[in-house]
Amino acid sequence: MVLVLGEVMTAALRHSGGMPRERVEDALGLLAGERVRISERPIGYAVSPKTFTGVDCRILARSGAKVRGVGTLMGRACLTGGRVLQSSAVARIDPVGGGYRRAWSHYLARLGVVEALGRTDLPGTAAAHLAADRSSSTMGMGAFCVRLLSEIQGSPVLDKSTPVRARRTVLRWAALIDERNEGVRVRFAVREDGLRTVRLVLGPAEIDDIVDLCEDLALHDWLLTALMSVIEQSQIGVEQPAQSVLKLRPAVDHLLHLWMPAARLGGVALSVWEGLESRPGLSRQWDASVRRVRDQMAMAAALSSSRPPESARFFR
Amino acid sequence: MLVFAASDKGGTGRSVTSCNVVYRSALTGSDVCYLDFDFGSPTAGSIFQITDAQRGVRQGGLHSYLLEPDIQTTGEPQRIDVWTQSSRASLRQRPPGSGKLMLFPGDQDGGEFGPDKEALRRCVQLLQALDEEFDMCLIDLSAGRSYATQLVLEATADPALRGVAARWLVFHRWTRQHIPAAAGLVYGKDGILDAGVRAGHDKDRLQSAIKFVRTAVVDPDSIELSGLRPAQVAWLRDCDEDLRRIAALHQVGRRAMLGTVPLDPVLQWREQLISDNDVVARDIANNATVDAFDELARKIQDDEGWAEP
Ligand SMILES: Nc1ncnc2c1ncn2[C@@H]1O[C@H](COP(=O)(O)OP(=O)(O)OP(=O)(O)O)[C@@H](O)[C@H]1O
Ligand SMILES: [Mg+2]
Repeated sequence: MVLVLGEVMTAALRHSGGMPRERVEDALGLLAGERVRISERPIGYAVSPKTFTGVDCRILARSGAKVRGVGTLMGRACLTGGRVLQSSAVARIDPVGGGYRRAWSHYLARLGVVEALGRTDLPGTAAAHLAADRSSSTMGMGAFCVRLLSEIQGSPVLDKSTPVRARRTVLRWAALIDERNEGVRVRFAVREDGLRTVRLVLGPAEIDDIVDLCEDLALHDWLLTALMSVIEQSQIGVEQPAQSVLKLRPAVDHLLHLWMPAARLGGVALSVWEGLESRPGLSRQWDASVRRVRDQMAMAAALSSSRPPESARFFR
Repeated sequence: MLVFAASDKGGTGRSVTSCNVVYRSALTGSDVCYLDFDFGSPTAGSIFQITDAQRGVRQGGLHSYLLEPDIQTTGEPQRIDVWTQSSRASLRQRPPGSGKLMLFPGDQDGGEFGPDKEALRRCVQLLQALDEEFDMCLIDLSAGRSYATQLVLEATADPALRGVAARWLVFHRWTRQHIPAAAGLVYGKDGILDAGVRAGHDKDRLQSAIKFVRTAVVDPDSIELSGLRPAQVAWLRDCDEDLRRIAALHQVGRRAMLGTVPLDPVLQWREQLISDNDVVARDIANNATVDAFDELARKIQDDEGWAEP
């Protein structure tokens, strides 16, 4: 069995309007010297080169047992639609016998791997990773994500104005990979403190594909969360429609066109999305929210055409 | 927007006024948060009436976030949703259309600290993340020339926060001692301007982002004083005139002032939020006080009053 742990942090890019392609490269290129990978279809997407950070820390198992973990975390950042920024921290946990730390050259030859020195309980480690509070994350993955995100958000290329006010979300995931597994099992949970967790049990898979999948889940969960909070703030039914529409506007300008589940994914990831859509029904909730926004716009437009011109000004 | 609340002396009403201003802003629909950077005596929890955080929290508050960078933490300090966590019933009924009202408490066993590179980095990251989420973040600093003040001056000079609006409120009582003291905190040696320039700020720009707030002011013409004898009122008026002169002399006059909060009986008695209920139904607080908080909340966000000369 192989255990991969990760965390994804998602935020609105601090830039008014979408980022043009040339600037995206400057912003994401901060992380390392290598090139930013960019694709335009089916949606604008850019991903930074991988970056690594060394760790030497305690890894907790659910039973409360601790082992020492030494190695490196892989980090990267990506930008979708020129607007939604994400950073990821990922590590494969390799149990090794013997309780001593090797020279760094050993770990540098295995980038993205953390060796757990001593008796390791992989399912227990996965459970502890997912059960922890938002404020305490395994191997400092959370702090690593914050660092990657902050560096980009502070880039001089950005104008620092945030189009939609939203809390950064954290999605923490654990993937248990076993040759003998057929298909995938996925458990997605929304926790009280704004934390999301994803537990995957699957057959042979590439780590990069799992990271892509988890970032895609985090992206759509963030979009839904942000849209719902904009709707709540707009006070549909309490405020005048024209007022509500003013507040809904950022969602229309910056969020609605970004919903494209699994657009860039294939294989295993697709079947995970299919599984998720059948139960919590993320897309169903999204569609219903989008309908509320559109209905409100339509109603406000209808009302304004029968009113004096000053209330129509919102719709130019 | 970042708003820093400072004062030279303790007990000026900096925390109470700030908490009320943040509360009034949330009522008007802004998403706001209050950061207790008064590490020596974090009292915001008691003003918002958060039972478990009267004097700060036991762990994970702002002080430990900045100073104990444990590898296991995510880099987020503890937050308390005032609308759901306050023990005050009238606060727990969040009015429709109101914005977020979040408290970032200090730690019980905090205390002042000295320059620290890692704390600076974390401070920048925190302000950046909160500015993404909130329309206004109010940071309550310790009284006097504290390290907290120096820290945020350095943080706001960091390129990562360039382009983020940062405004300063300097609170002082309307007395002969407090007026020069407040002026000293801004214009004096090692004051905010001095320290700001050393941190990399442009002096004129920084100065135009600093305004004074007068607290617990007795207005000689208010109806509360209608019982006074004419000679007493005349004397109070003379005092007020005298204070105005002193203020102008110290560059703390009208042009540098953002607002005035009148002396209020409820606040005199204890530190708390004043709800509309306290004014209207219970008739214990003064309407003028709430008006003053509303006005401050509005002026803080109004770009016009903050333009560079
Ligand atoms: N407008 C007002 N009218 C009457 N009393 C007030 C007023 N504003 C504040 N006070 C009272 O003054 C005292 C000090 O207020 P507060 O704790 O807010 O000051 P502070 O400047 O934050 O002090 P510290 O430096 O100790 O943090 C409190 O008892 C408070 O209730
Ligand atoms: Mg105080």
